[in-house]
Amino acid sequence: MNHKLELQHITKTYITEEGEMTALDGVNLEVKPAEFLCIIGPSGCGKTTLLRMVAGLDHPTSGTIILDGKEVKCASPDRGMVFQEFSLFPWRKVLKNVEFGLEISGMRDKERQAIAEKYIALVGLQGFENHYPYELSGGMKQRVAIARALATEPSILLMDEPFGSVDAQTRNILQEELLEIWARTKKTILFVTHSVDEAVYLADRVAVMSARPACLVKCLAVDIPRPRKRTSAEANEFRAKLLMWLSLERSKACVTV
Amino acid sequence: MRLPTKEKWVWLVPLIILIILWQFIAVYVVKKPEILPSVTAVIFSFYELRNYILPDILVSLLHFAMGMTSAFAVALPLAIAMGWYDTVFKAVDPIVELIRPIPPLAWVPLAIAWFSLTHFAAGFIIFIGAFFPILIASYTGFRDVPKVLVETGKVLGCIGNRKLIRYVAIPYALPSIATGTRVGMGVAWMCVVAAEMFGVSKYGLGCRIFTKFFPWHQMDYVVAYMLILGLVALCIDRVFRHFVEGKLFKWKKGIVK
Repeated sequence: MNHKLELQHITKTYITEEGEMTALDGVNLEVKPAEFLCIIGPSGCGKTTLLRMVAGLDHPTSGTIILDGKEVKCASPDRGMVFQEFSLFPWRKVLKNVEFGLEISGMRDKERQAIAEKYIALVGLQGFENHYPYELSGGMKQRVAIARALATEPSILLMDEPFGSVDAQTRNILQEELLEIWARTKKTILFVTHSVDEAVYLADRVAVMSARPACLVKCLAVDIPRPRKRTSAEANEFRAKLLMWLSLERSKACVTV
Repeated sequence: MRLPTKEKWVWLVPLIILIILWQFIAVYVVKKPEILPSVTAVIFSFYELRNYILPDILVSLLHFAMGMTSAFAVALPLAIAMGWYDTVFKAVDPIVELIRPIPPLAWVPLAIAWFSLTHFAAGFIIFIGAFFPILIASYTGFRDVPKVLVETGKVLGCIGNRKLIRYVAIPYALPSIATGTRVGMGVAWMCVVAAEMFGVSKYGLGCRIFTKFFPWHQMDYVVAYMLILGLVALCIDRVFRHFVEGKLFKWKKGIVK
């Protein structure tokens, strides 16, 4: 058992006015320690739901999620989460935002400040400790969110399209920085995205989800050596492969809708 | 560079014109001090009433403080409960909406019956006046807490409602609470005067106007006290804005200078 995270037969059904609707239909997934795994799939396929389940913010109808050998039941700081929306506490300065989780855990002022400063430096925001979130750009906000998620030293980092609301150039920079952070902290990262480019650039493995009712159709290892070039022939080839799988899934979705 | 200093005093011009106009109309057009007292008569009344003004202000402020603090102390916990727990909201909201439209002054007979002519009776009317603005603005603040901030709180270790309320909901709702309090203070001040006028109390600015000055048609005294009422309310509002809005809400974009 050298899996960091295991999802076993995860199903999720919602009860709607038209009756039961199955969103996730028996998803199985294993994530290795220090692995960077991207989940990609057609929109509305439930990839965010899956990630939220790992975070403990949503609960599977059946199936179990096992992290470090223990079953996940509810939210806890041992899983860091970065949301797509800007999620900084607007009344807290950058430093206090990063300190939040440590403050809740009851850590002393000085200790938590030292840790927070370390992570602010890690995301390259030294000098912005005393800025309020509204004074930051979108990319900076997400950097703070990453620092905040890492500050409690979670065993896994969950990212839900974290760069979805920043512009394309910032997004590229943030991706590079994330890879650096990943290399330095050796965190396991579960990263949900709808961008093929992002998945190919970042991931060790890409898990492709099918259209609703979703299950994992394929796990593809991205065997492109790092540091990667976005425009290399291998990257293009992989992108083509991934796009093919996705369009296959999309066409199925059209048939069922 | 000359313009700013000029603009700084621009408000004096209409004010002086208004005072001159008032004096002119009172002395040369109306000519009846019981209809419109002159400016000079009003200014002279301040001098004549110098021994009454301060005690009356203090009594009215006492009523105001009693009503405001009790309204705040009751409204805030109720607002937290109504804003955070939907069941409480659904259960209590109809009662709130039933009692809210009753004008505070309609409570005067009951106030006298319950507390007789004490400070508590006046405080009660002010309580009724201030309670609803504080309650409604505050629970709206709590209901509006963005889901993503609540979830961020959960992921970072806020386990249970108490921690979420303390670390996420209250800081988020503070500006709404402050706005409600400010509106509540305005209503409360109106109620101070009205309650005292209606004989709920034997002292206070409102009581003096209605039972001591008005029966003798001493309009110069009445106007002098009216000006005091306005100035005191202005001071309360300024002090509140300075300490609460200026200091607490730097994080709110727009308020920051």
